[in-house]
Amino acid sequence: MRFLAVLLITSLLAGACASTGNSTLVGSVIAVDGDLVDVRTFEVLSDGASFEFRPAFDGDFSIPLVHLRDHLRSGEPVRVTYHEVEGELVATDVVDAETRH
Amino acid sequence: MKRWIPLLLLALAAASCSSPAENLAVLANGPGTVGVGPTQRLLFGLRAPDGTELASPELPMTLELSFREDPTNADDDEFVLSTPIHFEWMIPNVLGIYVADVAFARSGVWVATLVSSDGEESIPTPFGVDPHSSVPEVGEPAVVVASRTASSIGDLSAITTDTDPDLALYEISLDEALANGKPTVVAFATPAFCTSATCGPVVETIKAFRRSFPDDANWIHVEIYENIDVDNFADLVLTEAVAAWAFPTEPWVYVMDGSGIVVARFEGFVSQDELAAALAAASA
Repeated sequence: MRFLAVLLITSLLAGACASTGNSTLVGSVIAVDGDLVDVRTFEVLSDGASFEFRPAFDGDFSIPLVHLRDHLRSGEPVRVTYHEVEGELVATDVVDAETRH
Repeated sequence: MKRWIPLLLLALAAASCSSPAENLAVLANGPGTVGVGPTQRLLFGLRAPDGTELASPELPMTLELSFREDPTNADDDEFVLSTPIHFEWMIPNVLGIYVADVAFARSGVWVATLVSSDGEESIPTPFGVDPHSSVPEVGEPAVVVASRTASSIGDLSAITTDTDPDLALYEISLDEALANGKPTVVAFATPAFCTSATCGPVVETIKAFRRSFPDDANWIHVEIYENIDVDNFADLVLTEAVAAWAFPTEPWVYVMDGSGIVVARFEGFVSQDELAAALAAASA
């Protein structure tokens, strides 16, 4: 029984460590570093804090990232799907968000 | 400008994180487009700490500008001027933004603060002013370059992403327009990317004006990309005309007089009043 418990806990921990689970965040675009063909980073304000994202090189984005400049002007929210890699927030998708939360 | 971007992003992040209870002024002009000399049309949003856009005609603001002698030292800001900033609808009664007309006497890092009528100040926002704008300025010659026309391409859907295109915007090439002695109004835009209620529909504005003043100017729409139907947006390629004008952002609307000199330029959107004034100036 003790062996099974240790095995179960070990399996759960291993699963948690291997997980690269994506997160989502809804907020307002407040900065875009890039041009008409390449967005290098963008920044989103959400719940009083700013988050800087780098688009994933292999990201399959629902909208062209240059569209983020429209959001920069309008303040209309975006929903960012991302994961963290060595302290860096890597965006894998961005969509127009209907609501902030 | 490029050397300032990391500093500006760091400063912006630090400012927004250090004072979460205050509103944040967001400069919406493209990188490198704000320069010394002619009056610049600055666009500002105003975000609440939770990201909500606050810009509204019911919330009048004043713009205060300071110059930061040392880009790394926010304590070094030197107040320069306070100027009115007005609200403009990008989409009538739906979305708007604050607009200020400012002429800068020196390049470097400037700091913008929006101040409400009751004295509430936004978080100071640093931004770069270049010695010269990266795109043609008012008073300068337009970039003479051919644009794709219906007659040269044949298939209208190959030269515009507008789902309801006005053929008249694709009848004359930009280089020919700039040489025929008439004022020219040209919109550089990709309507296909303006499908949600987040951007000013500049091509629609140009189409409406052309219908009202068909003979007052050459009216042209230039698409931003050659290949809008790509599987991966990273594969987008700029059209020859857009590459020649070197825009870092879209959309842009330019108005030239009969000599091909830029009379007005509008980044992001153009209101009907702004376009009417520019057209009158180009025709004078």
